[in-house]
Amino acid sequence: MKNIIKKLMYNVLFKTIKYQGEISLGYIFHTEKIYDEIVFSNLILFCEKYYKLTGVKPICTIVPPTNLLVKQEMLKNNVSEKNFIERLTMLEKVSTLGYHGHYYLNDTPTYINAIHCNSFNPVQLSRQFIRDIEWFKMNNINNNGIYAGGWWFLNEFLVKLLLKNNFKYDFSISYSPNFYNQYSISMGEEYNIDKGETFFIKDGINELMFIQNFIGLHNTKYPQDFIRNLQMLLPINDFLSISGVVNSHDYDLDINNTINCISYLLENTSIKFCDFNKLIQFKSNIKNIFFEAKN
Amino acid sequence: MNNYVIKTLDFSNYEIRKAVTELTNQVFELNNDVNYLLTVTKTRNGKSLYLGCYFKEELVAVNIFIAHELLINNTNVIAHQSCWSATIKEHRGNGLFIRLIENAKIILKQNGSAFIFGFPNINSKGIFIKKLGFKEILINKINIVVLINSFFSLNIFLRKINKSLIMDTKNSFIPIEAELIELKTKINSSYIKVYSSSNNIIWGKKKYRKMFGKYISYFSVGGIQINKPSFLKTLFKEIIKNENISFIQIVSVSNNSYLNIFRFIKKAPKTEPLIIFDLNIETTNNNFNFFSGIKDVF
Repeated sequence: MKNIIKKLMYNVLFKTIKYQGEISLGYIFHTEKIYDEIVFSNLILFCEKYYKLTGVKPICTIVPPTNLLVKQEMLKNNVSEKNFIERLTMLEKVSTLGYHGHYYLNDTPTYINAIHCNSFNPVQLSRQFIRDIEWFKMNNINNNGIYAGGWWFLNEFLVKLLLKNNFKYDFSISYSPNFYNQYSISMGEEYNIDKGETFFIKDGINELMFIQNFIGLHNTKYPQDFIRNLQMLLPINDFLSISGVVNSHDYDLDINNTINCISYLLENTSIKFCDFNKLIQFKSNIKNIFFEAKN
Repeated sequence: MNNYVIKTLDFSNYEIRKAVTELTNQVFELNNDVNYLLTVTKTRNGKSLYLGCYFKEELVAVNIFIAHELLINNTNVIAHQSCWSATIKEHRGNGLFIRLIENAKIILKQNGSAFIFGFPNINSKGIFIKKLGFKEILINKINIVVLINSFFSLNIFLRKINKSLIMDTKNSFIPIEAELIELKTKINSSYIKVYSSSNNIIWGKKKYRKMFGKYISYFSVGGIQINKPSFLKTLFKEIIKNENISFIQIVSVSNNSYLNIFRFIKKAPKTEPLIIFDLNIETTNNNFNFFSGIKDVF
């Protein structure tokens, strides 16, 4: 029934996006299952197809093997650290790598032990964060100063940690009803940050650029689902040129429907897909907001 | 009075645990095994305090202080819950309970504890407030009655929550629910039910109450962790669907800042209040986001 209604509705509505300004989208993966052979092969395949279609690479933010859950799963899947790094080398050829942080309250990586805004522990967070980024350094894996928060978690403490450790680009902020967190909502309200607006946080020495997540890229068979949902998340002032990212996990990616959706968007809308280097240049086109990280 | 000596008890010592267990079993008419008290009072931070009062080498009174990790303005602190207060019959009336708490105040302040708290019964509440200088915060409750269906009930008892709702947790002491769940599931893991999704957690247990000659079941909420308030309703729906209950009961400290998302909040004057004694943090203007699951007896 739902499909029939959608089919009928999409014959008339949401054929294209109603927005005057330029919309530039990057694609970011929260890459969590590199140890899984099928998931990993699909990810490589998708990145290749995505490049053929758009001419640009997606961003793959990865959870390193120092993360206790990944470590545990690598053991189960018989994937050594050497194998993991080999896979990253492959991934680096078809995407831009970044860091995806998932932190826990102790050494038991369960869902209830996850660190969020209201279940936060700075000691554990710092310990796990440092362990993760040291791994990148030790293995010469370039995270390109890119960060995306696991479970969309971000708070002031983490922002300061990112600044201190030379991260330059954050992709954890979203106005999407699914991806928000208490910090991004309160920051957005306090500093009047618009949807899709790129902004900076500076600590006097370093600066961190925040590029917003719009929405997950729909992997339903109707590309208009994506248009309908994106439409709700765009700024009211539709003359603004905006840039941001759409996202997926590696493990819940539906290659065919997602590629189909991107093809549709390229053919029927003015949406442009761009790579990481292009995304970070958009700062000159958009209203920037500067403020100091609070102490 | 001078023959009594207060000592910190090393609960890793079997003989000491045995002596405390025998004393509490005798006072409360229980039959706990020698490891029970350690299991129900040792939190993951390992900072619980065990105090005993000796008379001529004999343990005659005890008090346990469970160390709870709390979040306050993005900082973690430890606060201690006073519980398992017991004095053997022959030594009652000698002020041993007061001496134990006074000693705990000194030790815990030196150890960096934020405050001592508890949920005293009618017998000890007066002593805590009048003689030991504790302050009192009353308790509220909400009974989410399952009417027609969960959608209908939740729309009545929960305010409309959109995703832009910012939970104002500034100056609120928020328990780390994972720590409480871990503590409560050590004894009987099937007893406690944990519902979690979209970065929120609601946990508790199914209980029964006799009403009008019939037993009705309800879900007693132990704790709530809110990160995405707009998804909270989904968890409550899941509880109603899975537990086959007549109502969900939420018992909470009255100034819990999470209570803002509920309607029809009632005062619960008969429920043991929260009592607080400040040690290293002055808590007069703070909220305590404590639900009943933090109580040692939950």
